[in-house]
Amino acid sequence: MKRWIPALFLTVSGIYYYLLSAKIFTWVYMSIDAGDWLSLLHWWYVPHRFGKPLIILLARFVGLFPGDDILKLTLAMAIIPAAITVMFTYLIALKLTGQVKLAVVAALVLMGAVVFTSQSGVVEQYTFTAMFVTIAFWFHLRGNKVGTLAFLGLATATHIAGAFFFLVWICGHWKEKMEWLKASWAYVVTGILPYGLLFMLMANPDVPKLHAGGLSWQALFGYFFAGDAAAAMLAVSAAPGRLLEMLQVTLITLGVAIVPFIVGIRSLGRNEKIVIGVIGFTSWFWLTALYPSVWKYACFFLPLMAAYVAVGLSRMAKWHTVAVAIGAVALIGLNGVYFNTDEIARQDPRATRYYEAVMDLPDGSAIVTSRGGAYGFTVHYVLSQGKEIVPIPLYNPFDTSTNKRRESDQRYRDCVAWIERIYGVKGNDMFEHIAYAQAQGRDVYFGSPVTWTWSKMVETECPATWPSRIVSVNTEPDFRKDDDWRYDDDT
Amino acid sequence: MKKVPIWVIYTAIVIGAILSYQPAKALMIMQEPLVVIVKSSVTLNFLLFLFLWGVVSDKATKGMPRKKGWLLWGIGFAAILLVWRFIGGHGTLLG
Repeated sequence: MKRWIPALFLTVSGIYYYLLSAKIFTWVYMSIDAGDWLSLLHWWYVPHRFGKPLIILLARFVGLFPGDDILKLTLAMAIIPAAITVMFTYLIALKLTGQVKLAVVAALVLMGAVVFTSQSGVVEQYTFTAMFVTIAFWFHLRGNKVGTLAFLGLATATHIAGAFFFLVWICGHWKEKMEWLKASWAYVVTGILPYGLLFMLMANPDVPKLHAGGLSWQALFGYFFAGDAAAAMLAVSAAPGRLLEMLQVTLITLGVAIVPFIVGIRSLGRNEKIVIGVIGFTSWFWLTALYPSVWKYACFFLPLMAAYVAVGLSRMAKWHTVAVAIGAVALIGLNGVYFNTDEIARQDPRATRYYEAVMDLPDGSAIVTSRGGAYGFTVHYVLSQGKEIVPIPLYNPFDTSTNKRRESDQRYRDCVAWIERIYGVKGNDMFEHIAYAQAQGRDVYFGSPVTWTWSKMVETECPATWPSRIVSVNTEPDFRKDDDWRYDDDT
Repeated sequence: MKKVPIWVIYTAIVIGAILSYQPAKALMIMQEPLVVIVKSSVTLNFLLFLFLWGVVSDKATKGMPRKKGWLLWGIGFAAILLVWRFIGGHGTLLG
């Protein structure tokens, strides 16, 4: 075995991913959670559901080091994990085929996979989770159940999909369930216990309650389960479009490697059937989830697919290996030019502009902000850096179909209590907060687009830009006046 | 059935990838936080579920008289729907 090849792939892919990565704050690839992750560099804080405790710990650790926030977190969360995944893809393919040449092709196929490359260049979690799933499979092939479950646990502590992969693993080995269950302590330690960190943070009154609330049943339920469900919610009418997107993304991600993958996946060993489960579950989620950004989930199975490309090639004539290698190298080159994330981010720097606009708000002013989403998380990031502005949680106190007031949820009440304690701004709803802050002599800005719903309640100096100073509020809006109701996403 | 030559498949994939590059890129580099989402009471997942239940019940009722098979299929289907709605399946089945 040529022992230097894994190290070579680790280094070369790491440099490749670094060169393409965004060096500025960006939402490219719908990485609208970037602000949420970046806040963790400066704050102990509970990010969006389902909490991702390992990412909290990683970001807190990375935050101890000096340097640029974007670079530090992209390196730790995306670039280095992606490079490690490429290395393990090589090792898995080598284990499956016993041929260095085919293992090299597998690693190249993953490097040419644009979905994976895209996520290696932004502050996102997908390559981080993919790394653990890939290492789990490597342990699995070596017959190490404790190692497999420990890494599936680490995947679970970074993304809830890891829990489903764990179930797939157990169900896929039902006949040997007792052996797996005996080793499952490793999963509990690395995958379930870390979630205790969320409860500790929620119970701590000093931890910002901007997204998750305090430690109570209502707040926990609201955090984990309430809100719009995205999984499996795609309308039938949108299905043809989603299928076309899946086809297009798959074609440019794998190219001609699709053929040997199909050959490889048809000859799975008895112990390897779980690959079908991982690919099947993730593809189902991609196909049926509501949001158009779910193509990113393919990162979880692409390393396994690349390894089975090598298996397929081992059963095909040699010229196929040459064709697939040329295809992979061509994709690596093309992606280097056309998917240069840093360049794409600079061509459309709306995230950076918004971040700078919030940073430029006068000290002492207040900003009405959603508690999640691209704008909300960006405001959280700005606040985490010590910017002296007061967050006022955006919350529509009305039921827009009846015009009647509705009760706020526990997480909102926890957030309001936290804001009063930390910033001294009192109020039970958005209007009272705005009035209180204005009475304190603060300028109050509206932090996100004034959509149809909000236009009924606030008037800003310049509705076309945000944040924009609020000039008046309407505490008795009539949502039924307009017949031209349109879908209006408030977050 | 005559087998499609492998070079035809490779060529089709390459052409497909070239044609897909721009639309797929447009989808992937999207950063607009507000995306209009089609909401409907009938989800794709529901159709997938129907298909899956069809496959499972077809195997389970193999060898039974047709009427009995359909009856069991319907009872099982209704039972699953009821249980799903009862446990508040977030509307992921029926929207």
